[in-house]
Amino acid sequence: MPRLSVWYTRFALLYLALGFTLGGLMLYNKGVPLHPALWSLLPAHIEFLLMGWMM
Amino acid sequence: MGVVFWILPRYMHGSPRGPGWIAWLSLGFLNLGIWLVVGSSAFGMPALALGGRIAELTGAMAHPLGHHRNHHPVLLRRPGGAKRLRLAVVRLADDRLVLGLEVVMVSLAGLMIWRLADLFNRDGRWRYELSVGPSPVGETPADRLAAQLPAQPEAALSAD
Repeated sequence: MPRLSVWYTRFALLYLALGFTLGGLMLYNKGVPLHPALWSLLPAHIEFLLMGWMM
Repeated sequence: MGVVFWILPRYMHGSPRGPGWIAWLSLGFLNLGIWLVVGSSAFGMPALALGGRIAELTGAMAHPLGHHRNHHPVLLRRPGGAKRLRLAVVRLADDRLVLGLEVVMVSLAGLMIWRLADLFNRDGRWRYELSVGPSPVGETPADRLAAQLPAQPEAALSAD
């Protein structure tokens, strides 16, 4: 596999982990309120998963 | 995009995957764009989001432009293809065809992502929860939306 593809895959997995972490935090915050500001992570969650992971 | 770069057929002459620096540039622009958009939402700076989207678009478009010559000429793989047409003409036509298809595919992917992001940003449950905050214990999202609607007069409810 070319080195560039390896780096693409590494970044994609990193964004997948980040996106799922933010999503999990917001979901947890929905059931057990932690902090209202956690909802502001939604745009980052969308960006990481749509652009970072999918692309 | 990394899998595309890896898995597409290699060019038979010269560098097998074309000029690699354009593909690396594409990776850089894509990551820069993602972090600019995330930073714009974190710091409330819409100009950063615009710059981020431009960087993402540049990265997405640079990728096919950089390696569109990687493919074997499709027409040459057909039996007798090279005999029917001159090699240069076939290669030129094939390059243009593949480039056009890749540009269309990237554009469609961008359109799909834009529509999905727009769907999440519309007024509704997501927007309401972002602006108001978490639900009190025991209150469902449906309860919260119902509380936002104007009160229905009793006469209208019992008219039927």
